[in-house]
Amino acid sequence: MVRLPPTPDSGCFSALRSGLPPLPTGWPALDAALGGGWPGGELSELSGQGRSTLAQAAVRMAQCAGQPVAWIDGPGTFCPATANLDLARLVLVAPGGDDWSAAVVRAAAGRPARRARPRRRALLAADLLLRSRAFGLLVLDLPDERPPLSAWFRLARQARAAQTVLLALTGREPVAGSAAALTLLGAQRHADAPRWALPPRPALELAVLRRRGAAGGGVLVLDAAALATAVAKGD
Amino acid sequence: MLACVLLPPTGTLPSGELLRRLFTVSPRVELDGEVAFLEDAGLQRLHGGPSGLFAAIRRALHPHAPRGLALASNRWTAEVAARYMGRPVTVHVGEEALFLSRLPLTALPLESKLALRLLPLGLETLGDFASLPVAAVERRYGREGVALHRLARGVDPRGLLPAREPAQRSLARVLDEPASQLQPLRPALEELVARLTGALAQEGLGVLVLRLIALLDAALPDDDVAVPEDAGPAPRAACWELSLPAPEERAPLLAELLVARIEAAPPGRAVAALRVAAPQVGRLAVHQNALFGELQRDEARRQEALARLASVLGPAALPRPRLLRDHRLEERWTASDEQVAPERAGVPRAGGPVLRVLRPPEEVVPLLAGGTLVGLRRGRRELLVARLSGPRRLCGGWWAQPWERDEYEVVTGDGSQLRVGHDTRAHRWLLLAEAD
Repeated sequence: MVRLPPTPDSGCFSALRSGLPPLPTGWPALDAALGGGWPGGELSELSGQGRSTLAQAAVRMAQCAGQPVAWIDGPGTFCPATANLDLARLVLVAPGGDDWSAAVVRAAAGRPARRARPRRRALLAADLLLRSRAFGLLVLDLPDERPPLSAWFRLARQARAAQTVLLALTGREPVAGSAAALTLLGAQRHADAPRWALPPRPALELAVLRRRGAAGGGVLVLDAAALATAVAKGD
Repeated sequence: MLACVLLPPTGTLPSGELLRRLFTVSPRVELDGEVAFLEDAGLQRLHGGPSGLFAAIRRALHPHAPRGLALASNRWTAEVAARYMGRPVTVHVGEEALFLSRLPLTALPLESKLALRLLPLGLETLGDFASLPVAAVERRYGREGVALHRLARGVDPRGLLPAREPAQRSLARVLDEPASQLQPLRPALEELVARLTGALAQEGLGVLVLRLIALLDAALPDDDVAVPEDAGPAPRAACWELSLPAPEERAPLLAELLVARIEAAPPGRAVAALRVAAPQVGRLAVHQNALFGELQRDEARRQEALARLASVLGPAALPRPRLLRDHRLEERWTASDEQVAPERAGVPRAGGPVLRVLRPPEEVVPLLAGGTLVGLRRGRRELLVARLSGPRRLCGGWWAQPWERDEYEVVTGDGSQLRVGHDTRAHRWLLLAEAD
């Protein structure tokens, strides 16, 4: 692993404007690296692989802390059956609407599924929920599109006012730019095994691309299997 | 362009003093251990080019001398140039690789294991290393090697993390005319409080104790505009103090509270000058619903927001998941319009990988070699299979709509773990889910 020349850590998230306590991530190593967890009242962007794992762990942690949580499922890929979350206490928002049956009909006819401008509707839903100031954690899962930077700044400002931890799950590359207080890029790393063996749970390699108030850079490897155990126990 | 300054030996100047001096050269300064970086964007006319900038830095640090000076387009090149060249040097944009090519390989931040693998190869300079093909470096040394290769070519995306000037904790103002009533005093007081709280808020701080000192008219010497830091027992000044239960940044509120204190205990003479000081500050918290308290999550507001969302996006935008028993991933839950009791909603399976399930499954084109799946074409992307497990035969629905599917767990070349199904009745290959 490359060690870049050292850069100062000016108090990391304690220097952020919101001054709110962070939300634990579920991994002690990641908590230590981020100064306690996801920055409170700030926008954090997760891109690349493993973003759903991180976000669901955050939801679990927020639910353990008694915080109301909402999940905006822009791409329509959220699976409650494998999510391992308290669904009764989770507000799930499907901005694409319940077009499941229509999508099946279209797929059977050989036509691609159609969703009504899910990105715009997802941003609209996030805006509305943040303005209510009634949620401690909001997960915004966006389809593979690039919203305008002004939208990110608006959401970040509202998250700060609402004291809400806003986790944005974006595609293969980060798109929120400097509106995000924290930007992580994840990559799954598989252990060596025979080609035909069942893939074990991969390790998650996280690159810190941006941290407001501290230097970016550095790579952290997390053990996803250990997290699954910890979260299942409700730690 | 960034200027790198190798600072005088540790202990000669405290960091606060260093920052204060370097801020006289550039408004954007970063202290990084024994090195400081200054941005020179927009300062060419002020300093007159690189030599003028170097001279300004030397003047700012006088009588101490910097151990190295360099100007380059990025941090890495500037720092290496400052460390390895005995004189101030400027590396122009586009010439980073050429400049670095002559420097020894040990200039790179090599970890010991990688150094043991690189040095015996006969690579002596950064130029030798930079001339290797990137693909070969990646294959042999992985990501670490690629990152080092970028540095050797003079590519460093890290920017400047500018330090902030320390906020002032005390501000003073002499009034144009002595104020014998509250009304003319008020604008000056509000301005001082706003400036003070604004400066503190930039550091994420709020006021815990706020002190107002008023210098009274008869006591003001003719040519002395200095206002004492502490009122003390002297009768020529009046002092009021606010103690707040939590750090506060709202200037109008603080000014109003101070005015109330002045009204309760008037100074008795005209006020000639004011000083506002914050002897105690604290980390700022955001207050929304209460005067001094944390934000309370309101259930009624949540319900109102959800009702508004349903009216804007339609009721289907707020599905209540209800888990079903089915072998197929995409059929394991449904959206219910009714409020589902927690015990009826079902309990998710714990411990499995977190999946993004495609509803409906996306059709992909298989790339087969001798009947074995070696790749997938998803839209325009072609994914090569690095590892394959399966098939696992699933079937059902024989009483109504029979279906039959072979499922594979696939790890592709980019590390993605996919679940792929082969619909043996319709002869279609489907991408079912992606572990994320």
